[in-house]
Amino acid sequence: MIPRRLKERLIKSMFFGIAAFSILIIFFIFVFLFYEAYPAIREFGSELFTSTSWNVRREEFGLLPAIYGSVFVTIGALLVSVPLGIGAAVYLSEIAPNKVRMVLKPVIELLAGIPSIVYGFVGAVILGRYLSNTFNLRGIHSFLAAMIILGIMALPIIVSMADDAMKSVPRDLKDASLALGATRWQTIRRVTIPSAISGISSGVIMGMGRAIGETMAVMLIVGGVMKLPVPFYNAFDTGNTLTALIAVQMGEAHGIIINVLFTAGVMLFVVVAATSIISDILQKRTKDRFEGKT
Amino acid sequence: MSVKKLLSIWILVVSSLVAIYGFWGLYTRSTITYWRLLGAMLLLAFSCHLSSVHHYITTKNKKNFTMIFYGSIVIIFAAGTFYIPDLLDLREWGIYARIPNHFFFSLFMLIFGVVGGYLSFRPFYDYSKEGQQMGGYYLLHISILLTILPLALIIFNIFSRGVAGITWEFLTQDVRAMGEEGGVFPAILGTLALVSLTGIIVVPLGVGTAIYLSEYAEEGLVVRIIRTAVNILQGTPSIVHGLFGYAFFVLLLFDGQKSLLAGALTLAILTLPIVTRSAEEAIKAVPSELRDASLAMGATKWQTIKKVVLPPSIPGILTGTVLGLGRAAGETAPIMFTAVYFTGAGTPSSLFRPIQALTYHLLQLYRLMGYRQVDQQAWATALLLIFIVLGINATAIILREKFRQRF
Repeated sequence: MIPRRLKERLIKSMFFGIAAFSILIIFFIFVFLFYEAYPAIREFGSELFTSTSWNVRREEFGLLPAIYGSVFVTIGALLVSVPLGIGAAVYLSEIAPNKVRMVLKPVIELLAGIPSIVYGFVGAVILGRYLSNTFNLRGIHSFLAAMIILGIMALPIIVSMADDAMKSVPRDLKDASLALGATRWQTIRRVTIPSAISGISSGVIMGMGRAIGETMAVMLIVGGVMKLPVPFYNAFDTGNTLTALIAVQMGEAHGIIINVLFTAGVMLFVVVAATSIISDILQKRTKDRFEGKT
Repeated sequence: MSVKKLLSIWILVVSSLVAIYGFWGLYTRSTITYWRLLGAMLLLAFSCHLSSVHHYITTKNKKNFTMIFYGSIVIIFAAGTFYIPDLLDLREWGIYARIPNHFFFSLFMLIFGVVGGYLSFRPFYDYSKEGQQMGGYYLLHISILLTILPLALIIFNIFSRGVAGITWEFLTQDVRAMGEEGGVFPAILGTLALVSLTGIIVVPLGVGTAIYLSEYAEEGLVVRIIRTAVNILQGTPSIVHGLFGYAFFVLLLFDGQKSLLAGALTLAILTLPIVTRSAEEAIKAVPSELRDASLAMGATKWQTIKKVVLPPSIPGILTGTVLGLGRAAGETAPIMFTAVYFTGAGTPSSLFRPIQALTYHLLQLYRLMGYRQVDQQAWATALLLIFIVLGINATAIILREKFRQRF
């Protein structure tokens, strides 16, 4: 029979061990990605990030087109999802009747639950064909289709985080504004949205992280051609993103190209980890502000 | 009802019809002629002008030119569209695309219809701030509509195209002839095996982390680091999980062999933050009075957690777990290098052998489309996949609503 005190302490350290597991995983992910990426960085140096030519046979690995593609589709996706998402969130948090809210919130969560491969499949076969027929494009792949689908995929995160942020604005603030004779619409615009702005931006940043890191949908839609769009703002053109590059090439890769793909993975991991941290800080700031901790 | 209000309602009706016509034109890519566009736009502009003139006559208020201004813009745009060529060739600017004029016509009608609806509330409320409010609400309704619409379109399309492919043969046989014949039986079993194994691995880890964070840990550096780690893990792209799973589990632990266990381990890492966060929320929702009462009666911390804290938080933990598993069932990128084959893996028989999974099956069928007759099979797979994933998610949401607010 173990003494009670000792048992309690053992149990506590067991739980600490489990909790520390998350830190360990993050550490491992970073170490393993970097370990696999290092040979490529040593071999090619900064050329990896600045060169636009990609030719596996001649061992030319310029990741710039994929980096640019990731940034390009993300900007496009945000143009689609930010205005819509904030509008929908304002509707849900401020003016929707309770019954409608109770139905719509789960529906938007379901939107988030559709697998990305299904988004990609529908995006390529239906949206891609639609755009191709409408604009007489050469194939069903285009940045534009990827932007629209990614925008739709980022919507639920932005809606639910912005909704939470606006719900957390204290009633007193809104009531004060209404009591001064402002309409509800003026209150929304001048009080609710400005007060919740860090929470809303944290949602937008999370949505951005999702758009950068989304793989399967983009891979099926964007075309997987390793080149910059010409001209650079041409959304009708095809191209590639970091995620799609990894997903397509990894299957039949061997040799140094695997290390190059891991370099792309390191970049993705670092960027998205940064977005999570920033989003977290912003969210915490809203919370502190309304709970009296400054 | 006064003439002013009737005119406002008339503008709203005309605007809505113009917007719907524009949307329909975009959706079906139907040809809208220039004269039809001109007619619709002139009707809208004329109504705006009429309302403005009426406002001026009745109130002699010269300050409000909103509607007359808008009406004029509509006319200018409508006239300007005459100069849009039948097929605008962007290749002159180095862009390979040719845009037909009816695309622009539909787009203009949609935009001017929506803006017209937005403005129509102003004369109705005598250009007061009330009118601005109603206009704003109108725009908010449109944004929620546009948020829900894609979901409806996606589900409708998948259902109508996929339902014919769901046959007995499809559900009970292995894939044959590169996906042209046979079905997805091993893939269904593979997905289920993957998801269950993920659940078995992730629940102890996630719940344990949550118990430590909410019951044992004092706010401080360590807790902050753990929280940050969980957040980063939650945001990490699934393809990065795939790369890590490949480098760590497949290459290092399993000698280059894809396997069910490697896939489940990768997915467990992916779902860990979801389970942790929801378990923590559920545990924190248990009032501290209960804990204090138990401790005051001489129970140890562990006894309190086991007998007092955990039982009421089980529904919340369950909800989070089910949501996490729903996500796991729909993932492709983390398993494509770690666990799955398209054909030949058969029904899952061992932890250390590769499997087939629905998501990967859909990916491969998509790649074969255009080369082989697999369209029907692909749509049916997509339908089955969203049926399973949305089914899991709906279960989680129902569980949550049922057990919400127990304290």
